[in-house]
Amino acid sequence: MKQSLRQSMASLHTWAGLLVGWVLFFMFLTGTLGYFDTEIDRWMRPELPVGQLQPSQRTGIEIGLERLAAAAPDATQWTLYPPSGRDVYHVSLYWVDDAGEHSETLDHDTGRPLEARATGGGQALYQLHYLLRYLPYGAATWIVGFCSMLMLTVIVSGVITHKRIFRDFFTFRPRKGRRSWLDLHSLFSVLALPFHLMITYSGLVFFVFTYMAFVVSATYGDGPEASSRFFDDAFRNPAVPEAAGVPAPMASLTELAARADALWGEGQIRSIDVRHPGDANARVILTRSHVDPVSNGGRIVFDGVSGALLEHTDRRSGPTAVNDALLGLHEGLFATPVLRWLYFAAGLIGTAMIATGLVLWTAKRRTANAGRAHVGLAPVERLNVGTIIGLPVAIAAYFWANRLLPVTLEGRADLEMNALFVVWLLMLAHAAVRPVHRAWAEQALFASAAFGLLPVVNALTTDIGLAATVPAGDWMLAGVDLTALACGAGFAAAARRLRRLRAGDRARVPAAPEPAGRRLREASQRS
Amino acid sequence: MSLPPRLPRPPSALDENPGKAATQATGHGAAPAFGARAGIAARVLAAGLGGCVVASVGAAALAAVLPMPRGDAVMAAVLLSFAIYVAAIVWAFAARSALRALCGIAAAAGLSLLVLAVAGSGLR
Repeated sequence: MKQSLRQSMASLHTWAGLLVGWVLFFMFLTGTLGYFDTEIDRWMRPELPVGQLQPSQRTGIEIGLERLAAAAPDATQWTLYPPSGRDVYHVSLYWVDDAGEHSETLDHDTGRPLEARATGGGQALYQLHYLLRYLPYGAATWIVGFCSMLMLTVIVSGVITHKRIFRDFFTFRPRKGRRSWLDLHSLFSVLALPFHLMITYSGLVFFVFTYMAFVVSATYGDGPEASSRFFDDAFRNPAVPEAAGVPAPMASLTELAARADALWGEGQIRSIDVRHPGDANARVILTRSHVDPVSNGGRIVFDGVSGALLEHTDRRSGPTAVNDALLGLHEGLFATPVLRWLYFAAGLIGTAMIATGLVLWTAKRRTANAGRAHVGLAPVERLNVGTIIGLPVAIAAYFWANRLLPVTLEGRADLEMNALFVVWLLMLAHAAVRPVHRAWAEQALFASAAFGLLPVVNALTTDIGLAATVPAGDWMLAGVDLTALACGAGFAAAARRLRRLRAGDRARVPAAPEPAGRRLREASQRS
Repeated sequence: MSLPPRLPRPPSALDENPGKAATQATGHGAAPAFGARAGIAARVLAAGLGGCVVASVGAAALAAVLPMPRGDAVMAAVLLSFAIYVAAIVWAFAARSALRALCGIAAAAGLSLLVLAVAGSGLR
């Protein structure tokens, strides 16, 4: 196995990419949808009031406190998320008492909890990209880590393989079979290369203390106590004392919030976390909204009784700030609408990069070995169809299930997600039994119908159809429908093209006898 | 792994002129010879398992020698660990022979372990 560096990197790129390509496609696509998780959440809860204006943080805090005083007087911990723009639109509450954990989202006009159908929403959809599904947390974490590490390897080896990164960027040879796929793959890869690298590396960093637990234990010793010592050191975690068991009057939380405003700027509070409310050892921990990547991890700790400032993490160290910034960049919670769409586009480009890479693998083997197909060609081709188009169809099915399953059905949130995976399996089965060229075109047709009709289903089953949301100027809701329409149109165009393209392809592939195929293959490798 | 697999002796011309190695057929469905397969398996092991050891032990050694408070040093080291890992993987496949790949990874792991043992002894 003696080869030039470029060749060995090309093999590494090809085979490592193929091994995890489909999982990576799944992770990239569901993760990309996560950039609009809140919008999807909102769309999947059509019962929520339409056109409500967001109140100020101050008002939101007052509404939340009032509700907590009534609903959770005996809580040992509670957390209030005041409205802070896109990501936290309504006042959200979380508390722990003897009965367990509770959470609520409040209608800021009435101060009462909002009621909506049970759904995993955009959250469950975006969590798929790192929790997967039907797997224990630990197993999912390691699978995701394995795939991400290979993704990083594939990116680096791809860059080394690439001879003329700049020139190839401006090269596109359409309708040339494998060359076109190669050009497209290079284009998608180079176009958003910094994003691909950032998203892969920072994705690994999310679970770095699981994957690299050895580094912590080699320095701090084994066991949970040692690792919590490390976290206290690195993140300057505030020490929260046990409850004193002595009741004490709390400092005014609105006043503490105002002091946070003075330190951070108006309206930048993400959460107010109160430990041991009403106890002499009460602590109030405020975290900061992500107004930019670096503000992720910003935190202030007050003594809940005296109101003394105990901790202000804007003094955190360089490495911790880098860690926080990487995670902040990955989540992109700070992104304003234009930047958010750019994030979305970059995510789709990454998804398309993986898809074209997978197709390129088959295109190379189909044309290079015209005589006898590569043994992996059939399964790879079919997995490609059932994933590259089948998964989008399955995601559309998730939205359909949200609208079509009875609202009062027991366990409907889980059923919605099951619908996604059942439809994905059906698409894989369809891809397995149909002739490959037909499977591509047919599934593209399914996808165009599944997305194109989604706004129709929405309009028929809810009050938040485009006819209502567009005149009301509710672009958050209308945006989901319009994006579905755009996807439908895109897939329809793809279906049209695929039907013609595949017909042409079939005519071009000669049925050569086996030995000739072998010679052809060897010749193509020499060239 | 105790012994690296024996590899077929490549033509000597290739040693002097690796740029021409392009004529060596490897992938694309042609079943590679047993030696080549063993070589690939060895590199995969060196990259996957060896790289994992190099990344974790290397990062731990880095944490021991970085001149900053302990928590910050560990944080900096773990953030770099994936870069170490990917470098090890790339090296395992870029090395001229599978034997070199195995030896290189083993050497990097050994060196990291040594640094960790010397510099890290006073840490805990």
